[in-house]
Amino acid sequence: MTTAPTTTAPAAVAAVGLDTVLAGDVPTLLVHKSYQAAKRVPEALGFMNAMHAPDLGIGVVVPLHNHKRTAVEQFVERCQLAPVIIVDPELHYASTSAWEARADGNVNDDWIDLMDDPQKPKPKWVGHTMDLQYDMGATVALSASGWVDAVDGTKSMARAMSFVAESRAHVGTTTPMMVNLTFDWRWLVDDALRATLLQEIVESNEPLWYLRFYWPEIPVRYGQLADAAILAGYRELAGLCALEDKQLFLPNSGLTGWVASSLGAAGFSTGQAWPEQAFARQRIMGGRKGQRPPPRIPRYFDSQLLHTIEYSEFERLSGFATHAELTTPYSLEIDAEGHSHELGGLHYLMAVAALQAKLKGRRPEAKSAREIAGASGFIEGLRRADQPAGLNNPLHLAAWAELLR
Amino acid sequence: MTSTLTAEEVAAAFSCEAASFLGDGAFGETWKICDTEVNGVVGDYAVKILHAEQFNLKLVDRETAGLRRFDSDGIVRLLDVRDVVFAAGTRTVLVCEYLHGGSVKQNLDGAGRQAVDDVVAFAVGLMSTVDELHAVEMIHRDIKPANVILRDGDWARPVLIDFGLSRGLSDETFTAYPARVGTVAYMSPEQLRGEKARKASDIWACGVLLYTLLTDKHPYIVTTDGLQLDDLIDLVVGAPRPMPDDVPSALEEMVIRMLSDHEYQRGSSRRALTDLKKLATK
Repeated sequence: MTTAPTTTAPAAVAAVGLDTVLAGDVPTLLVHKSYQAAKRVPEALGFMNAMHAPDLGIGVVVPLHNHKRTAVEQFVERCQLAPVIIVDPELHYASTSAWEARADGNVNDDWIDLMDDPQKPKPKWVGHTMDLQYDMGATVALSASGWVDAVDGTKSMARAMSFVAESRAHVGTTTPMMVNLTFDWRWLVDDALRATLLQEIVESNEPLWYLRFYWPEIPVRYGQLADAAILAGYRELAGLCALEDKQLFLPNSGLTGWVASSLGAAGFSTGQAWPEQAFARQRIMGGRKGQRPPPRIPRYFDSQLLHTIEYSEFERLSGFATHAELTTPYSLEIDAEGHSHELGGLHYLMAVAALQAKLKGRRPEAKSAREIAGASGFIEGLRRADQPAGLNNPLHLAAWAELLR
Repeated sequence: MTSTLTAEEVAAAFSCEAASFLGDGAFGETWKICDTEVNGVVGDYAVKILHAEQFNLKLVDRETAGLRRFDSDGIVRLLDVRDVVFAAGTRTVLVCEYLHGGSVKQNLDGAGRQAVDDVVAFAVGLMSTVDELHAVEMIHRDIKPANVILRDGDWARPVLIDFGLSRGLSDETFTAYPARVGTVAYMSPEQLRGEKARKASDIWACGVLLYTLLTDKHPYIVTTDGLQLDDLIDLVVGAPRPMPDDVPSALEEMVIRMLSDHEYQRGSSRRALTDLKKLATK
């Protein structure tokens, strides 16, 4: 960290501008609003900015499906420090979407008309979808496009891009707009699907891409993606975007987004809660009727491990002399007042912001590799019995190291 | 190259002193007419006389619309479209600027390999023009030595001509796929398979052209004698024949990349330009 943390309100520091972020001149963190406990996110943005500008671009993403219109408006109003404000229509919830979990999420009644998407781009619906984002305070709009099905991928992609073209026609050629597409993870792994996606990026004149991938189930909640094939797909995607001077933003990708940023992506989004950190298949938890859910595990992001672990495990590991602890305004609050899920989530955001800011400058892949090597080195330096185990074991480190080799 | 008209017929039709045959294509034959007045200016012009039997108003509109949207040194300027009476009947004619300097094909004829600096300068000009086309979602679909003229014989000032096969990527297609559109030696693998051309197909053709300038050889084909189109599909897969040692590795890598099987791996015209600008400043 470059600035001593404080729990007092951050001093006003000019944020990196929208143009700089959209040009990909600075690594960017988009804070994806969680449904709950987001009250202090605007404050956290201020801390991030004070500590990391001009090395970090910041932004917020407000997903619509689980928010009421008033909640969106109020949150956006409080986040004006962020140059990037995205109001995500989450069109993978729309009626024509073939996303397998579409029916599992209730879309707030305020957005029912958005979800009634046409089979082919209709100017009225596309225009409404684009205008609504600006009405809600977006500084950059997402195209009115959503799920791109892997079945008959070429045709699905062509259909999605026809919605992108209509969105571009609506906003005009000079207004920044991100191509907004949501895919299954197979698009990163399957040669033909990946080639279709990459070819579309190369062929298109659109410079900004907001691409979300629906992952397979992550074995450990609050863990990281460790599938080598998917990570390799991200590497090729991010590398190609960098070569083609396309700015790639990876929503809901957790620290995979950070690794991808070091490989050429412009930025990523993550949030305080698990659904914002990983757009992934969820394990259906069985339970008898009337049975109370298990208590939530107090979790904490350990920057030394690059992993979210049990808070009690963090306290144990931080006792080792080789453990480097990242102090943030929220870690100080936890020290003073005890752990809470909200404070744990805010500390995570600050820690991720610090990691992302470190990527500024030349050879970002070497910088992320150094962080990963530091995490692995810390674990290897412990006796076997002292090494974190189970859900606290950062299994993704080896996969990341291999990816960056 | 064959003409269906005589020089005398063409000169008479345009009321000019002399006319000379320049070449022919799928949609028409091109002549140079001398000392003729077009839009109030007397000079030499190139006229593309469209074949009557293949006349298609939509294709003419597409070609003229394509040419008229640009005012660039890298794209031949269309000055007029007119109907001209010949003995065999009235034909539609595209009147364009006449470019002194000859086509790349003519300049290459027996000249051997081109100097690397000339090729880099040529590539910058060509890729800038292709980038201009691609930026407005147009593709040329028939980039080849005969369709690139060197303005005043300068390798640094290539000019793309013959937009008869060009189209906007969002245009209604007049082609029923599978169909092969273009000139086979410069067709990308996907075009040879009869698939729709995209920007990547133009990049491939530019790759073949640049490879040819650097080596005086086609990257894959020694001779087309006795080859069927399906044979060509097999020939153009994989790495092309090696380049001479004196070709800078960065330039060789870029050209080889433009000849990738996977369309996305060829990269965009913008990326090629970025690479070339780095090369030019070295």
